[in-house]
Amino acid sequence: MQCKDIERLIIVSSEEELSPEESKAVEQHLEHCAHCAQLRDDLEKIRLGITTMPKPLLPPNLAQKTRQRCLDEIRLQPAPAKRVFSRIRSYPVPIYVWAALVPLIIFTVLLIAPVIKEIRLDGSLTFESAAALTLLIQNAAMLFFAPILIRRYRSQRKNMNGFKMNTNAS
Amino acid sequence: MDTCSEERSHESGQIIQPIFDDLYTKYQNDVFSFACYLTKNRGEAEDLFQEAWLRIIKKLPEKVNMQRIKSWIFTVVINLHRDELRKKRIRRLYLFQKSRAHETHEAFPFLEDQSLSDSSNEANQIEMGKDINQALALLPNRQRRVFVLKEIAGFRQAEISNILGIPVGTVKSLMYRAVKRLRQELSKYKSKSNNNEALKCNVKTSSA
Repeated sequence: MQCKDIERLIIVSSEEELSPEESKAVEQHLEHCAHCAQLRDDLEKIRLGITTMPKPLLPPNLAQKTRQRCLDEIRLQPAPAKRVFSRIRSYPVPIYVWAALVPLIIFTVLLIAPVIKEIRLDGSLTFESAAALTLLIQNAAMLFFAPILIRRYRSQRKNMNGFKMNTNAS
Repeated sequence: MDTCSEERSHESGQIIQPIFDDLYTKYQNDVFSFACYLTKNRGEAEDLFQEAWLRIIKKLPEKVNMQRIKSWIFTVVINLHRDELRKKRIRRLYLFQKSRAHETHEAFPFLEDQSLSDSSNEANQIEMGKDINQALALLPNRQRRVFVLKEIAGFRQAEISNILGIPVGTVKSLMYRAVKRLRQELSKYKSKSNNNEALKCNVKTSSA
């Protein structure tokens, strides 16, 4: 190993992070390289200096004030039930889709209810009831597939963004 | 409904509070000194300290793994500091301020006023500690973060890479550069103090 590798090993790793072979290589190198030995001594001095270095002291009034603020915050924190609700709200389907789905459901129910009643009473399938049933199936399919399509679209967009970022990085 | 949610929040508070108390007594000093090393400014460090604990409280219920809690706490501090730096940069961009010049050469002012001991050996070590403090303040942000996390907070490389969200290789090279730079700066201080002593000797001999 060259001096540069040894330097890296000395600086980067404290004793317990070196493998036995590495620490042996370092020891052997240090025996005949004054430059690296100097580096090791300097690093030891720096580490010793850090242990005796004056540390910034936390002012007691700040500690007390922060503790009090945190305790107040804990008391005011929202209940778990609320948090579940907020999680549902942050579900990654845009709000206008939900807004479109609501009138869709209402219209479907309003249109379908009398037709189904009619079919149940009559038992015969008229053009009107057939059209209403088609509408029902179409809406059901839309309700089912909308979130899936949105998720797919989002994941595709995310991948595209990731790809762009990678190309920028490279 | 309101009373129900209040009761619930009271319950969750009862669960969080002992955990918070435990964490706060254990890590308050570590978090504060880390904030000081990051910001190099007492006022900013105090703000960062408060903000960090409030954020920890907010995110604590979602955080379950207590074994890696220390590195998580430091991650919170780092991320808050990064946000703050970003805001500062934007402010500077819009207001055309040139505050970078005095920022980079600022030492840790909050460490200056601590008393020195009488014994010469200890005094030497404390002098060395002071020099290290000054040299640390001169390191670039990324290098200083890695150095402080490794040598002062005592994290391992893998943990540092998790905290900072960078690969282990980058941690190693930043650490390498940090130590090189520290050595350079410390040797400057040494040569300065040697020069001073030499000057004093010269003055003495010339006056004799």
